[in-house]
Amino acid sequence: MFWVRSLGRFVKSHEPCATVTDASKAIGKPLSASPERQKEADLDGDIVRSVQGGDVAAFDQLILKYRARIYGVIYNLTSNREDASDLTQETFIKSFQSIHRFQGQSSFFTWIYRIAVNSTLSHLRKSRLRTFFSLEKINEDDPVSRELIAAITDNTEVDRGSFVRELQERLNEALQKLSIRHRTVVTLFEIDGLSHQQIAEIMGCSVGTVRSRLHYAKQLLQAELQQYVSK
Amino acid sequence: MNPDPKQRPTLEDLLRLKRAEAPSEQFWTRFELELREKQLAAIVEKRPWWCAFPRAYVFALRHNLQIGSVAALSLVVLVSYHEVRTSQYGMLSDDGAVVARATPRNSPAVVASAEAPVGRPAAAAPDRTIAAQASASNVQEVPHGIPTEVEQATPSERLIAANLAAARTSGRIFSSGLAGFPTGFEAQVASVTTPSQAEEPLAQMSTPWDERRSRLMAGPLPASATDSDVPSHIGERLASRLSDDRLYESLSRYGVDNGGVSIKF
Repeated sequence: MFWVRSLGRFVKSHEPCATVTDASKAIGKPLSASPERQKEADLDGDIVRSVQGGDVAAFDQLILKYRARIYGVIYNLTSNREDASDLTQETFIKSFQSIHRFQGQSSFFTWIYRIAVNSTLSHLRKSRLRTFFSLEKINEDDPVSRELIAAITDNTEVDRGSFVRELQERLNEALQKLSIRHRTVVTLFEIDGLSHQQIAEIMGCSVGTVRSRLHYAKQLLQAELQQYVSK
Repeated sequence: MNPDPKQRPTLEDLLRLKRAEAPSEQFWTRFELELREKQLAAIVEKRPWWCAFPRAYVFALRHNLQIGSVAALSLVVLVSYHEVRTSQYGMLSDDGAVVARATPRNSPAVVASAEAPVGRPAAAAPDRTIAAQASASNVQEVPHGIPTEVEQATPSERLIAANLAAARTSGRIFSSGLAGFPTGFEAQVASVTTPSQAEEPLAQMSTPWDERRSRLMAGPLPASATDSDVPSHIGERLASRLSDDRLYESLSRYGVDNGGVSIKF
């Protein structure tokens, strides 16, 4: 039975076509969607239908809409901008190749996020021993990040740049110390701002599992970054 | 770093800082170009055949098919595919065999039969006759409907083919002659392997050599010893051990003079 389990695992990690039905079975209760999510899903559904109908150029709208978010998730999972770029491209190519199999049972957003997460997890498993950082520069023009950096660096301009870089490295190190599943939950919830339900849909697990993993991952991060953050 | 722990940011704030790690516009321009190239390559590239297996597996799982039934189904498909391929190859090879069989056999046969009435020198007649006989059977074996090459063959081709057929036939006769009259070791092996031949009437007849041998064997034995006294297997053993020369020699050493027996040493 080992090969059956291995094959199942392989299919699970390589199958891009994720449906709400699968996630619902995993979670154990029907999914509810907010009106905003429903509206967004309808809009994406129209574009997908036009792509399925032969309008290949319509897929560019989906790329423009989701490329930054997909890239952000993958970058935060890998902490490597080159890998993130390649995996983002791979995600869009996979979704383009298998868009004819998208039946609209889930939102396109969930579907493409699941492709991205599965591709990244597969990549991370393959290159578990080869981990090095290639970090993006923090955009200090953003008011939120500027306030945060000011709060961390006690409002002095001296050595702010080097301190922010050090903090960034420590943060990424701490994230890379987490397991892949815990890192994914933290990334999707804390950085990308998805709900527990959405994460459960994307990862194919229950909401309780998501909460549990999130709690455990934050405990580990707190311990790793205790000299930078308040308790 | 802010020395006051109370003013330090929370973990959530720190994680939110990672949202500010965004690539520049140049990155997106390059990203778009690379994606376009990969997209075109993916359209052109043919996906490997084994990509269908995970899809089939997922299909089976979705439709609640048992693993065993899926395995049995795939085995049946595989075996039937193999059977179809084998039968196709078999048909092809049969055709090929017919063609290959017709070509070498037809030409000498037809050549020999065609040249026979023309009349050749007498020296070549036996070979030609053999070739004609050998090829006559081949002509009968050629199935109807297969085109022969009588008309297309040139005289030189006919001659070569006839010679080839003659050589094959003579070779066959030669080899059968060798095998037909075994001598030496082959004869011994043949006698051992075919015991039924010894029971033939001709084999049961005694030769003059046997008669002379038995007559000579009667001499060396003592006079008192009769056939009934001496077991037959002893005589055979002696006969098998003694050569003809020794038998003659031993005979010359014995003599009967004046009611007595003389022995020369």
